[in-house]
Amino acid sequence: MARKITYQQAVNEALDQEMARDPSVIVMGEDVVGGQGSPGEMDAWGGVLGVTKGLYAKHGDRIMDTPITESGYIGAAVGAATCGMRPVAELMFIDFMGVCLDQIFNQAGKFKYMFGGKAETPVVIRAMYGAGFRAAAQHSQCLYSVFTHFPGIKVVLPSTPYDVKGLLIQSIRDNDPVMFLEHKMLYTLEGEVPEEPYTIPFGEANLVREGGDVTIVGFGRMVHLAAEVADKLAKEGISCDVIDPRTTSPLDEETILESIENTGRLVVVDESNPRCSMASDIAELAATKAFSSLKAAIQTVTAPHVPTPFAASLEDAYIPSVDQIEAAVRKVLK
Amino acid sequence: MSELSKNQLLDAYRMMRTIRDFEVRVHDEFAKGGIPGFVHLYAGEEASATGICMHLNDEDRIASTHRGHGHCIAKGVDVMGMMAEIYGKETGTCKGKGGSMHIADLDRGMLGANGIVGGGPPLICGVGLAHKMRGTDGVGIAFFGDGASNQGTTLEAMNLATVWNLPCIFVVENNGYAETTSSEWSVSCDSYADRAAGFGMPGTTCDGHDFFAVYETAGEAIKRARSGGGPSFIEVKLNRYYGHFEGDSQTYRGDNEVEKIKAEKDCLMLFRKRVTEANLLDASEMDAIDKEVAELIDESVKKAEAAAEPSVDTLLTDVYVSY
Amino acid sequence: MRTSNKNKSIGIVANPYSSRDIRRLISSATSIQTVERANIVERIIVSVANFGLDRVYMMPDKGGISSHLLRNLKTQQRLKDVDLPEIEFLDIPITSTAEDSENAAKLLFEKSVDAVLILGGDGTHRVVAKEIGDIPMASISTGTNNAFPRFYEATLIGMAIGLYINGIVPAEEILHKNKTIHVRLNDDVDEIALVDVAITNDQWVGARALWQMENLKELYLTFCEPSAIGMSSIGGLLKPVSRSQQNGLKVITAAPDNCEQSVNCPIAPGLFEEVGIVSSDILEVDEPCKIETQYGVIAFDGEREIEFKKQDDVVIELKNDGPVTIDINKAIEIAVKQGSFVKKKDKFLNQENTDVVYKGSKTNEKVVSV
Repeated sequence: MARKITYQQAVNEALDQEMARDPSVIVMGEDVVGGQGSPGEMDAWGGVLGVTKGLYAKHGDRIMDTPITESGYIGAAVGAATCGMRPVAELMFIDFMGVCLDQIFNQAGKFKYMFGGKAETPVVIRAMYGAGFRAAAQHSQCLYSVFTHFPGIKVVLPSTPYDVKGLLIQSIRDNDPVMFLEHKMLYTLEGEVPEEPYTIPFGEANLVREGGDVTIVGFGRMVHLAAEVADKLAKEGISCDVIDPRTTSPLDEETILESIENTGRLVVVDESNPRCSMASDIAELAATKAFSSLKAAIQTVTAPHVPTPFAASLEDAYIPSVDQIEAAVRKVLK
Repeated sequence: MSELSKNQLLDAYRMMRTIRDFEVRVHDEFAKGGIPGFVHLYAGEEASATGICMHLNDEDRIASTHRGHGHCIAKGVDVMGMMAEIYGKETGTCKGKGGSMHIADLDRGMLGANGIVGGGPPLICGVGLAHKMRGTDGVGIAFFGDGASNQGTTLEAMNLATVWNLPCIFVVENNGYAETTSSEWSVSCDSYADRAAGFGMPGTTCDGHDFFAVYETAGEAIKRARSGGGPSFIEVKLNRYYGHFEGDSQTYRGDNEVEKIKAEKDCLMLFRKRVTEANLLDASEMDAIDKEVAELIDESVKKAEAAAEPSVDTLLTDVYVSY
Repeated sequence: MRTSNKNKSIGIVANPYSSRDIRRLISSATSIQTVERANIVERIIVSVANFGLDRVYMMPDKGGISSHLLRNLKTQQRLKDVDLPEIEFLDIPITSTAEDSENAAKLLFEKSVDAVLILGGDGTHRVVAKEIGDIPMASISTGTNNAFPRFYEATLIGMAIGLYINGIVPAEEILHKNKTIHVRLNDDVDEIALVDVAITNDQWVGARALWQMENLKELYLTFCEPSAIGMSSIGGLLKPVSRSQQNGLKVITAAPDNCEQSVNCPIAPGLFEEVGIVSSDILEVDEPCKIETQYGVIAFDGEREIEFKKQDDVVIELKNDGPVTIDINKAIEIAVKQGSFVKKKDKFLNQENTDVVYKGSKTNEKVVSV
C-alpha cells in the first residue's frame, strides 16, 4: 500500500520537488516563510496554515516573504513569469483577489492573446477557499466561478491529496496562468500519494463513483459529500455517477455529458453562492448539449445567496449538506 | 556616457523623428476614419522614450501605458508591424489581436502597452526580480503617467522594489494631465522626489523636452540599477501635443498652451538646434533622416491599409481553451 | 534704541523645484522635502517677527511650499496667538522652474525690500544675486552644493535679519560685499557666478549638474574654502582663498594620469573625484582673461548653462560687484555685546525697560513679577 500524506503535505511536497527540479520555480507570498526582518527565526510560519513550512531550509531565497501588497507581488509574479521564471505566488485567502484582480485577469490572462501569441505567462497563484472554518464572510468564499469566467486562465480545484500533488506539479509546468485553489477544510485529509513526482492532465475529470441512475457533479470539498450520499443510496439500490471535474477551466465536458446521456438525471453540488456559479454553468451545459437525454429537471445544491455567516449554527446551515444532496438526488428520481 | 558618437546622435534623432511622424500620421489617418478603436498619441514626449530606451538592450524590459507607441518604437518594435496592428490587420505585431493599447514584443523587451492605468509597475517588479534571481545585469523600466502615479499598484510596486532591492526604474512621464484632470490637483505629494524619498529610493526630476537631460538622468539611474544599487524614480516633465485620446476636444487646456510649447520647447527643434550649433551634426544629415522616416511611415500606412484583416479562424487561437 | 519697524519688509525666495536634479541619483545628495522647506520659511518669519516685521513678499509656487506655509502660519496664530506680518505673494507667472526665482528676485528689487532670504544652494543664490542689486541677502543652505550659503538654523538667520532691518546692529559691521566672476560670450552675454566657473568639454548642457570630472578643463573661483563642497573644493583643498581676499583662483585641470599632482575632492555631497592639476594661479580682480578651451560647456556654480564652440569668444573676469550678504554670526554677536537680548525689569515697579527690542514670546512676558 502506498504511503499516506495529507492534502497540505501534498502541496508542500509538490512545491519542494518542483523547486528542486527547476531553478526557475520560485515561491512568494505573505508569510510563506515567516519572520522576514523580525528578531526571531526565519520560517516562523511557513504560510498562515503552515503549508510551505520547511521549504525555506531547503530552497533559501527562492521562497520569499512579501509585504502585504497583493497587487504588488501578484503583479511581480506575473511579470517574472513573462521573463521565463515559474513563480508560484500564494494569495493566502481567495477572498483577497479583490485587491489584485487586475494583475490576474487583465494582465496575466490576456497577454498571450493580446500579444498575438508572443507571450507565455507560466505563473501559478495558489489560494485557499471555502467555508467551514468559522472564518466568516471575507475569509470563506469559493469564487472559483469568477476565475472560470475569465478566458486565458486555468482554474484547478483538487479534492484529494493525490490530485493536489499531480495537479500542482502540472500547474507549475503549464505555460498558462493557473489559479490553484485549495479548500482549507481539506488540508488535514489523508490519502495515498506516490513519493515520486507525477502530473495529472488538466481537463480530465475523475469519476469518483460509478453508477447508472443519477449524475452528481461536485466541486472541491463537495466531491466528498456527494460520494458519501452515493454510498448511502447505493445500499438502497440507487447508483450514482459522482464526477469530480478537478479543473473548471478547462472543463471536461465530455465525461459530464456522457454520464448525463447515460443517467438522464443531473445534480450539481457547488459550495459557492448560486448565481453565475459552477452549478449554473454545469446546468447550462446539460441544458444546451444534453437536453434530449434529460428525464428530470436539473437540481443544484449550493450555498444560499448570502455572504458566509460566522456563527456555527448559521455557517453549518449555509454549507451544502449531505441531506440536501440526498434530497436533490431523490427529487431527480421522482 | 557623457559623449554620444555621431551615429548615436543620428540614431536618437531618427528615433524621435520616427515617433513624431508615426503619431502625426496616426492622428491624420484617425481623423479620416481609417483607424478603429481608441488611440492615445505620444507626440511631444519623444525625448523621454528615446533618452531612456537608448540605454537599454533586448534583455532589459519596459512596461508601457495606453500612450505606448513611442515606447514601442524606442524599444525597437517594428514600425510596419505596429502600424498594421493599429489598423487591426493580420500583419500586425500582435496579429491584429491587440491594437494600439496592447502592442508588445517580448523579443525586443517590450512588455506591452497597457490599457489599465497603473498596470505596468507591478509587472516590472517581476522583471527586476527575474534579472536579480538569475544574476544578470538587466533592468526593468516602468513607464507610467501622472495619473497612474496615484494608483495603488504603482505605490505597491515602489515599496516592493525597495524591499527587494530590485533593478527597477520608475519613470513618471508627467504631461500635466490625467485625461482632463491636472496633475497639480491630483497628485498629493508636492514633488515626486519627495514621494520617492518616502519609499526609500532616490528621486529626481528632469526636463522631458531636452533629450540630453533625459539621456543623462536615465543613464545614471540605469547604471545604478545594473550595479545592484536598486530602484530609483525619475519624473520626466513634458507635454502631450494631442488630446488624451483621438477625438478629445481638449477644452480643459489653456489658451494656446500647446502652440506655445511647440514653439518654445519642442524636443526635435531643441535637439536640432543643439547639435547644429555645436557642429555635432549637419542639418542636411537630419533632413535626410526626415525624408527616410517620412517614406517609412508612408510605406507603413500603405502596407497596413493593403493588408488583410485577420482570418476569423484565428479568433480561437493564441489562448489555451475555447468553450 | 528701538527703531520704528514700520514698513519693514523682507522677500523670500524658496523654490520647491531647486535641489531635485540628477545628483540625487549619483550621490544621494540632499533632498529636503517640500514640507520641511515650508517649515524653514515659517521659522524664519516667526523669528524676524520677534523683532518687528510688517510684510513678507513671498515667491509663489505650485510645488507646495506656499500652501504648506499658509497652513502652518494659521496654525501658529491659532495655537500661540502671535503677531505675524502680512504675507504677500509676488505677482509673477509660475513656471515651476528656476525662472520663478529669477522673476521673484526682479520684483523684490523693484519693491526695495529691506532684505532677501533665499532657500537654496549655490545655483539658486546665483539666480537671485543677478537681479537683486545691493539688497542684503541671507541664506538657508538647502541646496545640493552649499559653498556660498553657510549653514545656520533658520531661527538664527531670522534673528540676524530682524536685528539688521530694524537697525539694532550697525549695517556696516555685518554686511559683506561678495566677489563674482563674470563670463562674457562674444560681448553679448554677460553671466555671473558666485563661487565657480567651470569650463568643460561636455557636448551639451544635458542634466545641468556637473559631476563628470574627466571633462573638466578650467576652473575659475571667487573664493575656495577648505571646508567647501562642490567645484570649489578643488581649490579649497589645493590653495584656499577666503571670501574677503581681493583675488580669486584659476585652476587648469587634466586627467590625473597626465599631471604631476592631483587632488581627491568632494565635488558633490558623497561623491569624491580625483582631479589632475596642471596649474593653479591667482586670479586678479578686474583683469579679464580669455579661456583656453576651444569648445564645450560653461558651468556656473556647479550647473552647466552655456554651450560654446570654437569661434566663440569667452572672457572671464573677477569683479568685486557681487551681492551683499548678512553675516549671521556677527549680527548676533554684536547684538549680544550691546545687551540687546537681555530684558531688564524694574523689580519694584514691574515695568519693562522700553529700550528692550526683543519682544519675546508671551510666556516670557509672564515671568516678570517677584
